[in-house]
Amino acid sequence: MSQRAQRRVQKNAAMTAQPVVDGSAARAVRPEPVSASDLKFADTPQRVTLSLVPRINETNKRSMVVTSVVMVMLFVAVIVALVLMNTSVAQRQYDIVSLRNQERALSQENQALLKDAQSLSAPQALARKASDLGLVAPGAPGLIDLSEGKITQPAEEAVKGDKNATNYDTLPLPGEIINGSKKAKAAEEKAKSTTPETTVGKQTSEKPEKAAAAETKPETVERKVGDDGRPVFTEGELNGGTIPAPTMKSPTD
Amino acid sequence: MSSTVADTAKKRMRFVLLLSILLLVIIAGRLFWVQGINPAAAAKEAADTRNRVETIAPTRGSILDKNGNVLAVSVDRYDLVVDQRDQKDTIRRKARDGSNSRERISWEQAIKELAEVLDQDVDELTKAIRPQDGAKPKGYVMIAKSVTPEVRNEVMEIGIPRLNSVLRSERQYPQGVIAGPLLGFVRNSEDQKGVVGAEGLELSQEDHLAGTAGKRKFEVSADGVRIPTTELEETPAVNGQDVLLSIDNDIQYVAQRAAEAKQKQFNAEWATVIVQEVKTGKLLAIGDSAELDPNNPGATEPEFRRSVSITRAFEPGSTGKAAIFAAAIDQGKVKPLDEFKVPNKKTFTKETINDSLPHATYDMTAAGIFARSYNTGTVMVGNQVSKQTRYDYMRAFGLGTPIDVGLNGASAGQLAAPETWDRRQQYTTMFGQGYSQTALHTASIFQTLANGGVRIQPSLIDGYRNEDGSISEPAERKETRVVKESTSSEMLKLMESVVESGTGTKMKIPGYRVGGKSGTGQAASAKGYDGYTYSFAGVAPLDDPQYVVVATMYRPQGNWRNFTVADTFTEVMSHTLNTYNVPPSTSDSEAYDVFVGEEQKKPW
Repeated sequence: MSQRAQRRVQKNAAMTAQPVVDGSAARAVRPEPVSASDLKFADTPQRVTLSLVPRINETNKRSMVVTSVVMVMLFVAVIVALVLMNTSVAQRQYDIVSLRNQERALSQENQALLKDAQSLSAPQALARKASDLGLVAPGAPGLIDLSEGKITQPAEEAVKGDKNATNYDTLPLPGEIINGSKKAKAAEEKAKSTTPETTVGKQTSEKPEKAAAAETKPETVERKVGDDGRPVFTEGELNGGTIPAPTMKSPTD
Repeated sequence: MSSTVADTAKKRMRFVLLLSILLLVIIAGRLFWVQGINPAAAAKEAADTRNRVETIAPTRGSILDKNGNVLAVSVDRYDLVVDQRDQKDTIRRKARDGSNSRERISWEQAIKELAEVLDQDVDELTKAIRPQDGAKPKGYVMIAKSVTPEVRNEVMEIGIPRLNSVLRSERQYPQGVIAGPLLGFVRNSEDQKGVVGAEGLELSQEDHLAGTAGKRKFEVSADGVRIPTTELEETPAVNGQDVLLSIDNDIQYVAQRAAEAKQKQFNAEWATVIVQEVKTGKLLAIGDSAELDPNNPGATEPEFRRSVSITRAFEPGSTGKAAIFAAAIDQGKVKPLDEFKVPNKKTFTKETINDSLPHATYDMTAAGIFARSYNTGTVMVGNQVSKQTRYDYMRAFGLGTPIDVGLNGASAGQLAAPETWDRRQQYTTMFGQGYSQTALHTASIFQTLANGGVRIQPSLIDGYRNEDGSISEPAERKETRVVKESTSSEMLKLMESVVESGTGTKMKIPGYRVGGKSGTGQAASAKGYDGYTYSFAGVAPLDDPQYVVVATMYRPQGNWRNFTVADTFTEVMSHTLNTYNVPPSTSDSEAYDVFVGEEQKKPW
C-alpha cells in the first residue's frame, strides 16, 4: 500500500488564507486544503494544493530599502573599522620599532657604563689610584694573644713612598699597552692591515681611564712630593684625614 | 499574469544558476591550475614570498670571577660599511645644528667630519669612501670595525648616503690583563657576525658560553610589513651560560704582579705564581709574568698567549723531594726522626751523587735532610723504597698526566716508566731531576700533602650560571687518596722544618705557621743543562692548612747566589691569608730537629 506522506501544511500558513482561484483560470473543483494537524492515513492518495509565493507588498518593499541601507552602512562601517585597525596596527609597529631602538640604545648605554665601572674597579686601576694618593703596601700586622694578654707579634711600620719594595703600580690599566709588547711590531702590523684601524671603537674603554689619568695625573704633577715620597695635600683636601676623600662627579660631567 | 511571474522567476533562477556554474567552473579551473599543475612550486612560491625567517643570535655568556667581577663580556659594536656606487656629487642631509632645516654639503666636508669622529686620516678615508680616479665603484668598503654605538650614531648624523652600520657582537675584557692567559681570547666566527673562542677558557668553555641561536618565522605582506594576524613561529635564542671561575681577581692581580716583578728582577724567561685552595683544589690565581690583554692578544709573544703554569714543563728540582719523602713515610720505611749519616758526596752503584754546596758529614734526621735539602741524604731515604713504588706514588700525585683545568695545551710533563730509568735516573728522580712537570703539578702535590693526603683535581671553574639565574655545577671533581692522613701530617711537620731551620727561612710570614719546600732545578735546552728553575711551594697556616702558593722562576740571569722567590711567595701568601681573614696560628711550631743531638745550628 502506498504510504506517500501528505504535504504538511500548517494550519495558520498564509497560503491557506489565499484564494487559489483567479478569473477564468479557476479550477472547478477545489480540493480542500488539508491541515497539518489533521493529517491522517487515507486509503486513496490525496493531492496537496500548491500555491504561489505571496506578492511583495508595500511593507516588504520598505523593509527591502531599510535592509539595503543597513547593509551599505554595515559595509562602510566594516571598511572604516578595517582602515582604522590597519592604521593602528601600523602605528603600533612603528611604536614597537621605536621602543626596540630605545631599548637597544639604553642597553648599549648600560653596557658602556658597566664596562667603564668594571674597568675602573679593576685591581690595577684601584692600585694606581691608591699609589697616586700616596698609599703604600702595609707592613706586617701586629698580633695580640687575648688569652695571655701578650703581644705575640709586633706590628711592622709600612715603608713610606718610593722606598716601599712592594710597588703595586706596575700592571697596565685596561686599555693601556701591555708591558713587554713590541710596539714597533704592532705599528708594522697596523700598516699592513688593509682595514683602517680606528681607535674610536675602544674609546669608551679608554676614555674613562684617560679621564681618570688626566684627573689624577695633573694633581700628582702639580703636587709637591714630600720628603717621605708622599704627595703633599692641602688641609682643605684632607679635611682631617690622611688622604683626600673621593670626589663625586655629577652625571652631567 | 501568473505565468509571466513564474517565467520571470524561472528566467532569474536560470540566470543565477548559470552564473553560479560559470563561477564554479572558473574557480575549479583555477583550482586545477594551482593544484593540478605543479602545485608544490606554486605553494612554495607563495610561502617564499610571504615567509621570513630571522635568526636570533644568542648572547655569549660572560666569564666572572669568584666574587662576581666580570672578566669577559660581550657587547654590541658596529662595523661601518659604505657603498661607493650611485653616489651623487653632493650630500643633502638634515642640518646638524638641531634645526629642522636641510642642508647640502660637499663630500670633502662630510669626509672631514667623519675623519674627526673616527679619528682617522682624511686621505685614507677619502680613498675608502670615494672611488679613486676612474676605478670601478665598489659595493662594499669597510671603513671602520667595531665602533661603539655612540660613534656609530654620530657617524649616522653626518648623513653620508649608503653608509650602513652592521651590528656585531664584540668580546670585551674590562679588567684588561687580569687573568689574560687563563681567559684566552676569541676570534671572529666564519660568518663574521659574532665571535668564537680561540684560546684558553673562551675556547674550552665554548659549548657553555656560546648558547643556541633562535629562529623567528613570520609572514610579510607584499610591502614587506609583517602581517599582524599571521601566526608567529618563534624559537627563542638560548643565551650562553655565564662561566663562574674560582679565580679571585684581587689575588690574581697580586700573583700576576708578583710574578712580573720577579721576572723583571732577575730578567728570567718567565715566572709564575699559583694559589690553590687546599680543601677544594680550586685555583684562586694563576699569575704569569707575561701579560696578555685578551682585548689585544696580538701584542703578546705567541708562546706566552697560554699560561706557562700549565704549558711549560721543567725539572722541578728539590720540590720533587716532597713526593719521595711522602712515599717513604707512607710505606713506613722511614720515620721523620730516623738518623742518617749524610756526607757531601756519596756513590750509589757507581753513580756519585753530590750536594750543591760542600758540607761536612752530618748526623741528621730524615726531617733534617728534607729541611736542608741534601741530595745525598734524599737518595738514602729514597733507596728504602723500590723504584716501582716511588713511580706509583709519583703517578698518584698526578705527575706524567696533563692537568685539565679547562685550559688547552696543558703539558703532561715527562715521567718515564721505572723499567726504562737508567742507572743514574733511578736516583735523580728522587731529587726532582730526570723527569719534568708543570708548576701546576707542584701545586697539586702540595695540595694533596696539605689536605690529609687526598688529592683533589685542580679546577678553575666553580659553576655555570644559566639564563634564569640558576647555577649548574661543573662535573664532579675527582678526589683520590694518595697518602695516609698520618703521612700527610708528618709531611706538614717536615715542611715546617724547612721554613723554621732549613732552606726556606726567608719564607716565614709573621703570625702564621708556614711550611713548604724550595727547589732549584736545572733547566735543560738543546745545549744541555744551561739554566735553573727556582721555585718554592708553601702551605699556610699549618694548624689548619688553607692555601698552597707555588712561586716559580725559570732561567733567571745574573748571580745565582741572589736568586730567590721567597719574597714572591710571602707576598702572595700573606695577601691571600689577609684577604680571606685567616686567623693567625695560635699553636706552636711542630718542626723536627734537623740534626741528631742538641746542636742544631751547623754551617751549610
